Amino acid sequence: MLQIRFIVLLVVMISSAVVVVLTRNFAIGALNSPEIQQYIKNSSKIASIVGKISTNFTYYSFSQWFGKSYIQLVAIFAIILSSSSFSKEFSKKTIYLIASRMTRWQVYISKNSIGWIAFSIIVISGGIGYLIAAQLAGYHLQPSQVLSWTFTSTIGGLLLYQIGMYLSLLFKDQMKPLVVGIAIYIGLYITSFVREIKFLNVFSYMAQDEVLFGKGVNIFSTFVALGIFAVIFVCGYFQFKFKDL
Amino acid sequence: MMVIKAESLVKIYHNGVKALKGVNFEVKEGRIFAVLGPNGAGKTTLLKCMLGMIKPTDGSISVFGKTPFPDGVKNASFVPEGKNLYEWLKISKMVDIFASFAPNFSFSRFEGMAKRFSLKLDGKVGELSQGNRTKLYVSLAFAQDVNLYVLDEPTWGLDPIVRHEVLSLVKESVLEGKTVVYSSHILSEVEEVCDDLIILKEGELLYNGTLDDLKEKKKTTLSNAFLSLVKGDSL
Repeated sequence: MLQIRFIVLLVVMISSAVVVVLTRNFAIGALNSPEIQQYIKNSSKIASIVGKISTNFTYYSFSQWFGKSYIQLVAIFAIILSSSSFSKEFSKKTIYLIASRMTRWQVYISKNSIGWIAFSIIVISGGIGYLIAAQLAGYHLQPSQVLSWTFTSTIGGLLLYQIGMYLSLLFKDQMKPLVVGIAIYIGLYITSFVREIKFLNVFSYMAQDEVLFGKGVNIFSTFVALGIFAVIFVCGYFQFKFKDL
Repeated sequence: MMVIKAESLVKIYHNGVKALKGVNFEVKEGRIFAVLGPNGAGKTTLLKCMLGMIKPTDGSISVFGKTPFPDGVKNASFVPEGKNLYEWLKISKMVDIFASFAPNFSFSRFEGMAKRFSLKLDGKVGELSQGNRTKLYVSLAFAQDVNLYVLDEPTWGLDPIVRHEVLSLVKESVLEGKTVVYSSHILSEVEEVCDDLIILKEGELLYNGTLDDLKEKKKTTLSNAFLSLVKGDSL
């Protein structure tokens, strides 16, 4: 089942990246249409953004892929891959098949590690696939910027994935982890609108605009994200270890 | 040698249900030990305690001298009441996956079981009938060369011929020095195979001893003795 889901999500991720590259001219044509120009002429800020999207491929890549569709897909795929990981074993009662033959740690680490690998491959394919598609289409894009966004999206995505894994341990049906996971993701996104809790917005970390301006990845934020990931992983293990199956 | 020892075993679930109320028993090596009781007696809870699936609320249980919760018993193989496997897998793939994590799994033992039970390995797990699903689960469990087999309704959905084969397999296992814990509602087959038994009702122990002792004391069959005890008669 995981294999099929993995292949489908991989294909969706790569094809989405390719579509964003290939539709660039169409998107620019639409932005430069008289109707849009008429609409934005009174806002110099929007006009400036539209101008940058039209003339700067790196900015286009950030605004249309790495800062938008890519991280949205990463979040959606994180919850799809993680939310049923344990809850499906509980609801279908197949947990007795594995938990009576492996230690809880073996069950927990094997499920997590397979998920991390599959999820990371999908996320990385979105970044690398975009870079390759851009090169083939003749656009110039700094590989270091692509790798930076791919890196932060992978780290942030793994954090979202781990939240989904934890939720899948709490429920014995498959819908609740999915619904609660989506609610948490929306909550994290909303934090970007409130200055005091803006630091909780993992999506800002994934799509770092410092990278766009030529700065490197924010190392401090990376360690904070990895730290939270580790805490959720450990809490999940103890949740599973002492759970009645 | 003692394989399982339970002392004052209590299990109260989060919803307040008292599934086990201070149960004491011992399972000796090389014996077939039956766990009997009407619905809701606590049989499945007891088997889960033996295998470390759930944590006892009070008292203790040890299997091969170790507490089974939370890491289970490596030297045991379990057939649960619901014979749930990965429905979407081909049967051959299911066997490969099971072999990858089940301790002491032998493909030749599995092939022997499958042949004995006339189990066809074509198609997907989800396409199997209830009887064939039980055959597959029992074949996988007995393909593990372990010292303890815990079987919950291992003949569910089987025809009389295959049921006879499963009971023969259980008896043969004991001859090889294995220990079997057996739970079933079909008292005639329990009577055919078991050496020792406990009878539970609403989490309390009604009987703990040998089958022969019970039949001797009640001067009747296991079925009648069971019904008499469950209705509240004394020994």
